[in-house]
Amino acid sequence: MCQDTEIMSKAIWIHDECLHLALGIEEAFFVDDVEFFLARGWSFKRYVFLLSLVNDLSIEIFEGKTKSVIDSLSKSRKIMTYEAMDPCLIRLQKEVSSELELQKPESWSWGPDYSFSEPKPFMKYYYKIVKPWLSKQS
Amino acid sequence: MDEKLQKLRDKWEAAGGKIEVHFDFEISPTRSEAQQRLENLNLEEYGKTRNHIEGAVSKLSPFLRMGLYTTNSVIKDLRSNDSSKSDDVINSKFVQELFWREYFHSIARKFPNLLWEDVQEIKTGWKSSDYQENLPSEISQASTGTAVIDRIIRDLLRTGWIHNRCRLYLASYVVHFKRVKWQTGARWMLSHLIDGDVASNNFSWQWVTSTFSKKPYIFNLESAQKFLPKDWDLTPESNHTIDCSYSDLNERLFRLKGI
Repeated sequence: MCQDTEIMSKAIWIHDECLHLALGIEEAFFVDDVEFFLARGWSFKRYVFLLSLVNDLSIEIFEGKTKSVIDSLSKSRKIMTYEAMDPCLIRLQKEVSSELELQKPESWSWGPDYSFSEPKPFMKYYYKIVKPWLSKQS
Repeated sequence: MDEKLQKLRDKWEAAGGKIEVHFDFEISPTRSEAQQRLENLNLEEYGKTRNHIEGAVSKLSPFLRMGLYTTNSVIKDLRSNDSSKSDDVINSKFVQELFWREYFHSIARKFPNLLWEDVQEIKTGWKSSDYQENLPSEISQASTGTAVIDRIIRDLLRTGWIHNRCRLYLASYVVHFKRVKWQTGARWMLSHLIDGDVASNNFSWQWVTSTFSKKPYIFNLESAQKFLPKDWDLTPESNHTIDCSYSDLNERLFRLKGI
């Protein structure tokens, strides 16, 4: 029984686009995958800034390759995270996708999204999509 | 050196990463810093002064980039700070600026290939193949000889954050004055920014280049003197490459007829 409960429990993978998900959540974890940040071309100071913020938020940190860490954790827990925007993160999420429950970030579901068939200037987007949404909020 | 920083440093170097000689965050990587910045944000002052380097900008971008805040949560927090001024929040320039980020993200999600490819044809009169692939060393080493550009590069390398106008000046200098491919400059700047967001960064570089705008963005010393701090070296002697009129610059930098 106890084992079943453990299998059903969830953990949240906090990546570098969704730190707010960790606020007030004990089951949140971050993967310090140095090679992944290097492969994305990050400078050391960018990496230090992120890790310092993750530390400040008291998020549990696992060191190692993201796929290995998630493979290991997913043996006892269901892993949830937010879909990413950055193509490098998207590729990483696809690499570990069989173990992941992906959710769309809040801003993708609540807010205005780009509905044009080709990129249009910002002001068209703002007045056609954002402004009507904002007026409903006031 | 702080023990935690030394540990990160060792790990980074062991994985083959380079360490910058010196960096010094002006935006502290803490939640309290983010909260303080949001609480201190003055929407009226932001609207009036945001284009100036010393203007009342929020510096919340690293926290937005890393998802500590979302556009929605920032709007909610600002409205709850003063519910009587809810409409002022929604109609503020700051909220409009937040949506630039959402706009760029939306395009990136729908057209991911455009993050690194020209959205439109370049409008400088040059062909894309006329732009060099490599970043000149004087850019990476802040030794261009143009004082304001060197100062901007030094600030970027040291703090990982520069004002949006400085980003535009630097991108313009790299692409138009040094004729470097926007992708090369965008990749370099992205690696250093603590708020480096591939969509906002790359589409802004394309906006400067003119592959995502009607014309190339250029600047001159007069503009720099208006928006940069007075204690920077803004003298013509130290900035002669940008000390000219826009019509002269257009003639010098581009192959356009009828400007």
